[in-house]
Amino acid sequence: MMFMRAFALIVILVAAPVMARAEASTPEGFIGKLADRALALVTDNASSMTEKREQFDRLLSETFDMEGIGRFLLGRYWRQATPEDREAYLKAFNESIVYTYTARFDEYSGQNLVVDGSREDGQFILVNSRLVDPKGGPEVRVEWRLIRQGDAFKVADVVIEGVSMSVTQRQEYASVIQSGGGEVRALIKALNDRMARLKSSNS
Amino acid sequence: MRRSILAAVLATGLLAGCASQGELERGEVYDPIEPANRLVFAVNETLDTFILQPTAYVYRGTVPDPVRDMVRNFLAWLQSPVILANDLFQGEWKAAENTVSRFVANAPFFGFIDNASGLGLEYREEDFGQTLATYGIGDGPYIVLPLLGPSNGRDVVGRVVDQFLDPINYAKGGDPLDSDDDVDTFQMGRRIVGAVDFRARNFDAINELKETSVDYYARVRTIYKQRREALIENGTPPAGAGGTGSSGEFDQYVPGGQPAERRRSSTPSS
Repeated sequence: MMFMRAFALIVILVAAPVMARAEASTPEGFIGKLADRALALVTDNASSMTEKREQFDRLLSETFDMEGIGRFLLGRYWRQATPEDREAYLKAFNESIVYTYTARFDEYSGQNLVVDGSREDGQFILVNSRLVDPKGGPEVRVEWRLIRQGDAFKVADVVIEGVSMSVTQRQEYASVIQSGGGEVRALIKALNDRMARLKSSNS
Repeated sequence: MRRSILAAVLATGLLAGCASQGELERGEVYDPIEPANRLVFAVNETLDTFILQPTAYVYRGTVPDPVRDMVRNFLAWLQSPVILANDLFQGEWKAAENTVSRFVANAPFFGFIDNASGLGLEYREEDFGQTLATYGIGDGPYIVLPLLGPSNGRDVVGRVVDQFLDPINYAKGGDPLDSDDDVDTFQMGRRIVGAVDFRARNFDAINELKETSVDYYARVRTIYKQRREALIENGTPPAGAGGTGSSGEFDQYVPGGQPAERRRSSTPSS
């Protein structure tokens, strides 16, 4: 009996951290879970491309702060934009993210995301992770910038080998808007044009 | 001799430019000669499309993986003296030790086979542009170099200094600024093979970067800046800085669901 109880205790003790990691209540667990969900989607061969896009769209809206990111990417131009332009822009932005990333799903070749730890940074939590190639390729450093939303988290930025996706897009968008005479519409048009181009070249 | 003076004058001018950047928004790249840069960038892009990309495609398709690894290993090995010199200039004694150990460990096969990485001696790139940055020199103006691509005032100076730090340029009693035929051909070949190898290795990634951008020039410009910052920090951001060099920009981040207007609005440029 003593043995059984000790065994049960060990199982609970050993299992507890594993369960905590799988739960989304810690930043590390949140990223681990996000990676699992993304992996399931990427390796799903049964669904059609349209279905995958829908699922990825849902994953994004649940785990990424798309509104906050979209606003951040526009920077100071957000304030100048009319409500209609904001809506059109957010739609074009969301669509372009979904489309470009689902198109890259087939590039996946067995890498794992290893979460190393997290730290606070103002209103954010930064989670360090590494993309590890089991075939011995070079490791890729990935840092996640999370914001807290109630009990949950949402991703505000992904930094790959020191290159921030949000900052890169923000700078690129600013350049498009500036050369378009400071008009947010110039960016909306550029995003929609690129979308049309990508769609026609991929089908 | 005359060329060294020219180089020195050029360097002083470029570094002076590093000190005098106008008002910039956080994370923005100082690019005072943007029209000229865009022109050179367009020419480089054309060369990439018609020469580098096809060459890299054929190289990737015909040369087997292990051989391409050897090529890359050899190129990295040749870079060792320059990396070592910069490790020392930066007072990075551990890194210097690492560079020397790597060089020695890989010497038996002239760098073609990278045994060092397996021994935990990872390759780490250093150059004089990074050294200058650790001395507190700013980026300076963004410059797109013909053939060589994105750079900035500081890194152009760094490139020139690195030529002086490369022992190969002194082979056969040469002067780094004087052209000796054999040495020049070798260095040129090394650079071309390096470019083809880089393009082949990042073939899809670069094409995607291009295809999915709305302003490829602006995208490359900010990526160059961020990558250089990451290399300068050697992947370990200074304590208290909280993340990457770009994290300052996130002061302005307003999460979704909250009104953006709570921030003081800066006057939009018109």
